[in-house]
Amino acid sequence: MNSKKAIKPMTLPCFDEMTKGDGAARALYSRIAKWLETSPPGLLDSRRQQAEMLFRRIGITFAVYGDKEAAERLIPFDIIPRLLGHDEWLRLEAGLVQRVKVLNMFLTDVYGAQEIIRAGVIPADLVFRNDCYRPEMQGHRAPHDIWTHIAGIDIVRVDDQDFYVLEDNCRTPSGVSYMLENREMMIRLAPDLFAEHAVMPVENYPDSLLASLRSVAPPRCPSEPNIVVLTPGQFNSAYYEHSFLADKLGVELVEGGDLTVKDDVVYMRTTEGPKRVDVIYRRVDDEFIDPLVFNPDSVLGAAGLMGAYLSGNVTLANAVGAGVADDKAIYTYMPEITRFYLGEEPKLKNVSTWRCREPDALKYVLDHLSELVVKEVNGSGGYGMLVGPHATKEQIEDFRKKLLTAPDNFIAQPTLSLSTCPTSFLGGVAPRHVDLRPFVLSGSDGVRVVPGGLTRVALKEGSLVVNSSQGGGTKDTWVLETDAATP
Amino acid sequence: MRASIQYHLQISCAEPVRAVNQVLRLTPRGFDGQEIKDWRVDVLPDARMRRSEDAFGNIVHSCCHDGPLEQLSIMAEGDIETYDVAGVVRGLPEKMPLDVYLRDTAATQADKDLLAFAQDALSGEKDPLGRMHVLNAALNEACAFAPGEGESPRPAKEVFASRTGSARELAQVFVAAARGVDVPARFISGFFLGDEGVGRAGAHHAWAEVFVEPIGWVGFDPALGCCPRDEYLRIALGLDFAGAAPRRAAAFGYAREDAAAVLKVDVCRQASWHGQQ
Repeated sequence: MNSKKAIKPMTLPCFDEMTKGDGAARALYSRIAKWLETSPPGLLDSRRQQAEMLFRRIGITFAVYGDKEAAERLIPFDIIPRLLGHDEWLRLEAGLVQRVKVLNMFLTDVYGAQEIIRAGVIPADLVFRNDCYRPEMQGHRAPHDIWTHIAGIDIVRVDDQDFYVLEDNCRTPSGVSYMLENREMMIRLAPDLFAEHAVMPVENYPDSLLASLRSVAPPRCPSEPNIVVLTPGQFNSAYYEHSFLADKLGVELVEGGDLTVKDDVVYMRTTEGPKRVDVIYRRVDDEFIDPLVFNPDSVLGAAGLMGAYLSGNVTLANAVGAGVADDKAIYTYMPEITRFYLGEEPKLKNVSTWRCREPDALKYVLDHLSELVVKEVNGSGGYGMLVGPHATKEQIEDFRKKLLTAPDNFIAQPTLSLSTCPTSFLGGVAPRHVDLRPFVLSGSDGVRVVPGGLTRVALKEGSLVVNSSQGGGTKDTWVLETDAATP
Repeated sequence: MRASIQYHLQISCAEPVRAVNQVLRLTPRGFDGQEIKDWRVDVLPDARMRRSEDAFGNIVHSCCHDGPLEQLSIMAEGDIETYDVAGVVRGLPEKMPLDVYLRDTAATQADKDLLAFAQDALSGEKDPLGRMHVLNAALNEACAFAPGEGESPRPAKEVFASRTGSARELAQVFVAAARGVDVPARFISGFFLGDEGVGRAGAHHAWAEVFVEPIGWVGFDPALGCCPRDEYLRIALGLDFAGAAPRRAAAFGYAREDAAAVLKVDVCRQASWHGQQ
């Protein structure tokens, strides 16, 4: 991270979101470029230190699994914002809305009539033998046919035109607290720069989330549904976010032990006695939500919760079994899935992918391991993945063995030259690869997308892995009300 | 076989518990091999029983008890008639896509040894139904049947490695082996009504069903080395024992449970219902 060099061109030719080919700033970034040029030396460093101090004071930390020393790590925050023009955002937003609509239609279908499988678009075993598919949900309709109420769609760019989806997250996507905190931080640390740009607000995210959750409350519940956030507890890596969201939503944060189920109705314990719960924004994985149906040793959920859910007395967001749609093997079929349900072309592109379950693809992947990114189908958070160009020989051989033993578990993608954004370091600014996770909310009253998202940045030079568990940082994402920064 | 069945499960907690939630899969469904008359499930102390159907088509009763609670009784009783259909299961609503029955669960994962054993046993047999008979006989011979069920069955690979298991454990081994050779398979929980069952298998019995083209679902009992006959009362199905378990419970305030099950079978010697109609 302590790169002493000033701006240095990337080794891979890639789309830099600030500069054009000739080195001049794009109109969108003109004010940022000027700000970087005119800022007195040391300003960025001092701002970054302030940011770190503030984050620590607020207590925004996350835990890295399998790392004892990082029980409470801070995600590095970069002071230089990432910009999207209004036209760019409109295109992205339309794509996101379409994508999430299709994901919900797909889930409704596989747990219902299975038209898409009968039509031969997707192989049955890919769905029904998928780890994230829940047979217990087969034949059940999620309220309002919404399965993924909160979706995080990971987006990357390789040029100034197209947006590519790297991954769909339909289970319990996290990171939205960083989107909100990063904005507060920017307003505090660079008020002038913020004032110079007409930035669309993200602060209304909690309101939108609340409205979406309210809209899916069971029909028989009173006018003001009782909504809670269910967390696995303080040892979960995203615990901070769970408590943050409960606070912003103005609802109770509960753990499994706070809930009881009686006669298919969920109650939470309060000082005034049991209170009925109508909607649970749950950040507990499927396998742990009900010991009577799933993992019998789980204490993170509540016994009988599935019974209450299936009889329609409580709504779970996201729905049980939604994970089958964000599986990396299903991902490869998203263009076909979109055409099947909507008869439209997908507005967001898919990264071309080799399905290692197909013998020809496997052969190609094995021959080109050093060029490709290989991912475990069910992995998340950047665990269990191989970035060919950056891997050692040992790692590659290790993956070759894994691929040969269980090819079905892997997909491979070309190493994308992800777009870069200027990022500040101790003593300099350099382009670093970024991705974007916008959050898409679905309710019975439609789909909502807050203009922005979480921009993750790979802080290591040349690194393409942006996951915070793998040494990535974050930036504030500014969606402007105009197509370019007004000069 | 025509019989009146009385099943009684007595649960004693070592210490009083605050509350208990239970899910019971104790209601058989009728199909070509069995007819069910007047079946009821009850609990003591009294509680509201909610009846529903799970995704696999099992009839499920659930109930909640507020404590303090030390003793719990569960009763299931009714009149049934069973027929020998050579293990073939027809006349049941099948709601689940067939591919689901090829899923591995933690309890039904075949390891290399079990897989090699299955492939070896099947090497000489081509006929799909014949293959399953061979597999059943091979497992019955290789693994000793140890009657009596523990709290929860061990995973299939562990059971196979020890070459001995209860009916539930052996059924899971069979399911794992069948899925290992790409045959859809499921776990069945039920009662054994015959004389030898009362003595040997205890109240609960368990076996497996596999999907064989073009017949459909066919039952196999690796514990007794046969296909289910009219002495078998089929109650619930699942991917493994956990999905078909007669009872699943979770209590607030953990306490060790002791459970004792008694099955009473009164065989009627009169003409069958079929004969009367």
